[in-house]
Amino acid sequence: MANQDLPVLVAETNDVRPLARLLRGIGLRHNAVMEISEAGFAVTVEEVRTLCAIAWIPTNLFTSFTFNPLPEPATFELSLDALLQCLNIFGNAGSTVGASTSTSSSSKPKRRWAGEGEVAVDDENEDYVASSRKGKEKRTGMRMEWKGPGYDLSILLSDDSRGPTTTCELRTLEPEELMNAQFDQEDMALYIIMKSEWFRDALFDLPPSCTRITLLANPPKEAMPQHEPNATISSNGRHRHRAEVGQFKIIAEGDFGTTELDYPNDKEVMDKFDCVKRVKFSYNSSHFSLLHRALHQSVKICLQIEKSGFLCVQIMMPLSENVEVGGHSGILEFKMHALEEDD
Amino acid sequence: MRFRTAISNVGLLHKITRSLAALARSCVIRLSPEQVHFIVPGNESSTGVQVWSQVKVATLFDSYKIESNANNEIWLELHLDSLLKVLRSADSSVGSISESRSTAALTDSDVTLKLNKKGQQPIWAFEIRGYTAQRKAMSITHEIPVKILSPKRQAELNEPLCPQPDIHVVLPNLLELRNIVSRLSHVADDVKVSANHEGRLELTANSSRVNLTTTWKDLNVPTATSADEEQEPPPPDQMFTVSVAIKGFLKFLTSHLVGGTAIACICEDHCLIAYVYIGELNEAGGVLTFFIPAKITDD
Repeated sequence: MANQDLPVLVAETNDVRPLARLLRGIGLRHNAVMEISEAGFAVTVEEVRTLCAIAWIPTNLFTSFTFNPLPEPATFELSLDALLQCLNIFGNAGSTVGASTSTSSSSKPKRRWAGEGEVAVDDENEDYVASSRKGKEKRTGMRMEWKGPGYDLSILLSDDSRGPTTTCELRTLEPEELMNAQFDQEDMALYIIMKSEWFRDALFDLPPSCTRITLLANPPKEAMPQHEPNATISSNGRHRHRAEVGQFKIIAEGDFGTTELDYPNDKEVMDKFDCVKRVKFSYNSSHFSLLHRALHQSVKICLQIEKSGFLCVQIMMPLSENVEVGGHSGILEFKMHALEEDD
Repeated sequence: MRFRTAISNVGLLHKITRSLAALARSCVIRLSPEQVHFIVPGNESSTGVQVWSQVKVATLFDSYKIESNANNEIWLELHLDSLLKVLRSADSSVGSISESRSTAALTDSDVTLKLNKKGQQPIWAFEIRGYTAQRKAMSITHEIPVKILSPKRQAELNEPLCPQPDIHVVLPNLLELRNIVSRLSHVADDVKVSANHEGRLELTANSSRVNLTTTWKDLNVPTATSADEEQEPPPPDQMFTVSVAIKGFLKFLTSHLVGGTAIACICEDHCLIAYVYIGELNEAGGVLTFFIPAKITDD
């Protein structure tokens, strides 16, 4: 190799927040597999055979990104937990606390998100957040370097003020075998693009006790639903309209009833709605609710379902300024298989 | 045995008590004619952190009168929780607890403290006097039980002996430091504190997943005041290191409330000593001294 002495990767940024936001979105397990390419990073987290979450981190999130390809793929496993903790060492990459605690995560046995850490000194963080808000916004800059296989991933972090610097040496491991089932675009049964907001609100409303979530889509111009005798005229009209344009529906069954959320295929709701035949699949709600955190601060969501029921959700982050046409500022992808239909 | 004083700086006393309450449940207060000593012996706190502090009487008190037949000194022990409750009330009455005056604030208020006896039980009686918003005179009295320490018990309390520190360094802002250390606590149980004479301070936390090192540069390194030993000065880039429990370190960092300059001394493999100065360094109204025992690690 000619460039044997050069590090495989050097990436720099003056604000780690977009990076931390993407990584936090897939923080459902402690460890993640990171793959480096010319296009940036692909960080993958997998729950055995059931769920696969990938963060596509493009190079435009960095002020500089130098990649010296290896003959073999530049892939390693690391602790996502620790990486997020490092990025937040100065407190400038934390999750913006707000309505982000989803109903499902607060009522079910508390699942610890990567990077959240044991809540030991939490009240202390609060007054720090308060004090950092008062002053002008602080940012953490980063320089990430990886010399190659067998080396630690080293990260240098500093506040832009003349404050302290932090170096992190993250252990890298041989990557675990990934399933990463591919989504077959040819075999698509449903393709929807809409604003994240719409979808996030829906996830927020789902009953905490539900165990399965059913997605249902009707193509436009299906037969009118059965006339319900005691329905009001306006609700009949609504049903008729929806049947005509087609609609997408999220159904969640909980202990105290069923929640149904309807999204008609209207221009202001759907950016895109491709559905030829009626589609109906159910998914594990604990997996589905993981999307909630990922949707935080995102702009668009693209939902695709294969004919087999395999679901692929892509979540797009707001574009940063220097993105060329067709580029993106980070995409989170979640893939999961449908549950067996129960009788 | 008589003791009576007005508390002129309720806010500061409140802050000191809060920092001590983070460490232990009870504390020994040694009152002498010139100084007040707050002492948290090592066996009181779970982390082995000790506090031996001295504050000038004038920093906290006014019209201070003390008499006893033991050098006019009184040693007493009290529960920090109960003291904290009283001071919170007094502090809000005086209105110094926050910039926006609380509705409970009294005007022209003053707080006095007396050592009394209720039956056989010695008590500290706090009296808060002032005027309500309607200009009505108001007086609030709190009494907390205290324990007078016998001379025998007094003799048992000894400041820990430490070797000559290897290095002194002025710490960065304690709040900033605490926030970083509290994040390190998610990574590891211990933190390595290292410093050298170039003013470099490093905090290192190691775990199986990640090694984290936070570095400050160009901190002040006060030169040793006692020039009694003519020793060869160590090379300026030689790092002196001590490992301490993050829990214990964080407890000391609660003293950021007191808000003064802090100096850390490293006694390699022995302890970390931190001095938190009350007020400006040169006209020190007092100093809180924290002894944080070293953790002996394998490496």
